Amino acid sequence: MKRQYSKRQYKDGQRRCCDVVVIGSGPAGMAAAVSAADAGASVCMIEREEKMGGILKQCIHDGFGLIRFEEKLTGPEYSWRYQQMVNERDIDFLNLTFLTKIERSGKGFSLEFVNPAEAVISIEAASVVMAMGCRERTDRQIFLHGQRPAGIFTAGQAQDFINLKGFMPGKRPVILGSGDIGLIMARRFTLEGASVRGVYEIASLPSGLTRNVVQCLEDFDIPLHLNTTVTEVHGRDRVEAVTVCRVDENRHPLQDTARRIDCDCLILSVGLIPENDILIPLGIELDPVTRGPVVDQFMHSSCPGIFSCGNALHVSDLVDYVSESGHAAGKAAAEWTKSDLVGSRKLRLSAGGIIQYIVPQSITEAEHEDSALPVYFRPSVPADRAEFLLKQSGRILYKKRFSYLKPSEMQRLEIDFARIDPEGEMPVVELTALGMEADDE
Amino acid sequence: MNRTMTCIACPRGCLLTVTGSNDNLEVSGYQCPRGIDYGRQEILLPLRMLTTTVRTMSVESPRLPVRLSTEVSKTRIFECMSVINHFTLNRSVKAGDVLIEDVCATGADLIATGGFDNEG
Repeated sequence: MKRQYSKRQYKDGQRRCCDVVVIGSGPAGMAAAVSAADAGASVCMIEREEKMGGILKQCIHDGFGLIRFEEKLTGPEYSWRYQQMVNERDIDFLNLTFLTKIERSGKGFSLEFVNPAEAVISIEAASVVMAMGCRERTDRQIFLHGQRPAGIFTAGQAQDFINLKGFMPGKRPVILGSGDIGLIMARRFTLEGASVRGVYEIASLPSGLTRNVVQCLEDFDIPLHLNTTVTEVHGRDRVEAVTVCRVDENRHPLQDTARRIDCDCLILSVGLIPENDILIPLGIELDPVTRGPVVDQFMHSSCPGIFSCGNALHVSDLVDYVSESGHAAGKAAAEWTKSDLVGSRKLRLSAGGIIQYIVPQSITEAEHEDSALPVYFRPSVPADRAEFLLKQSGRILYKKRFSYLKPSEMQRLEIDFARIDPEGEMPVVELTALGMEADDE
Repeated sequence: MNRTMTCIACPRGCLLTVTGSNDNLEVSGYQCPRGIDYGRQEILLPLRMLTTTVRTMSVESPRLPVRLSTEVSKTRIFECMSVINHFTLNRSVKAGDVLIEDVCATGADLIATGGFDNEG
């Protein structure tokens, strides 16, 4: 296999400099690198794996790109389109390269990496786009009791084993959690001849998209057990069984409902966490709900020069929105190197009603505004009809009605931020349910 | 016949009930006309896309992602899988190349969704 660490040749000891460094080459990173290059910046994109594409490489199912390309593509096909765009531009791509340190240095940043060709390398950059994506919650993070035998995998690990390596992690899996990857893996296991024992979800609603519940579970008669969780894992060397329990409304297991389910592996699809640990030393403000940085409409974090996008910013259900935020972050990161927005005022948005979170969380006063810019939000509870309002100093600046909302389906809308008065009071976004959906799923 | 199903034409997910015979299907429970089409199609000829992988001769990339060129009847999926799982790729391909023509006489070809370099 050809391993290529960099297109550019550097002499020993030569300092590497570029305008924008993009960390990660998944859908967000590729989009950011492309739009930063298009905005005239010299760009370096860093990837810890061998190839570009991030998680899309193993997402062989279709349904990607309906918004971005108006076509139903598989993950590798979607990724391929962006790889072409990256390759057509003068973007320096460093693969098998891992970021170990990021520090302020003058007006910009000094980043340190390791890779097998050069051991430690450092790059100076004026701005950085963080596009590291997210990682999966593991059994240790959900307080799963019992033994620790082989055979406990996250859904993404199982996906990597089956789709990239051609290994089956087991023949009789139990799936805990109904996130989209878990549902997709239930179908994938079944297609490859395994017998999925069931999907168990502690909440009263599936956490994945409805279309995945229908096409991945119902199509193959895989049972979905809501209000039920795995309380114990059995087996000394290898998973032999799990105990499942129904839970009460406070999610406490009801011990008299405990059942033992024989299985040979346990697949976890219990949530995704944006990967931002590397930013902690910079003192970046993180949103406790999204667990990504607090950003303004330019995906600019609280640390001037650091931009965030994709699943590192907040976990999206659709790759199209991941790319969209990547494009916005890349363009803004490139413009940042030419202008100076440090002094401009940031207005924090206050979110109320049944909003779980909203991105961006703040608005920066800007001279030129690209008319309407995208805003993403999730409701905290399902609502059949709801009204979204943006208000400032008692005036309604934006209003939109939604006919159905679910926490599992992220919403996107476009708001013209020029309407916000930078000298005015804190703008308020409010989502009000006009009629609750019957809780009958 | 009397079947219930969740419509996936949009994220709302209406619970549909389809009754009647094949030439006279009645759909209820929908909140928009797309539900009628979805309910009828699901009874008359439910179609699904099949995506999977094929074995390659490479140690570094032992699987190549593939899909069918069109959706096929839901009932033919496992039949297609058994043919695809007996296929081994031994040449270089690029995304979109046909690997198997007309899989199981479904009219759909098996196509690569990624590139594969047999030399590498």
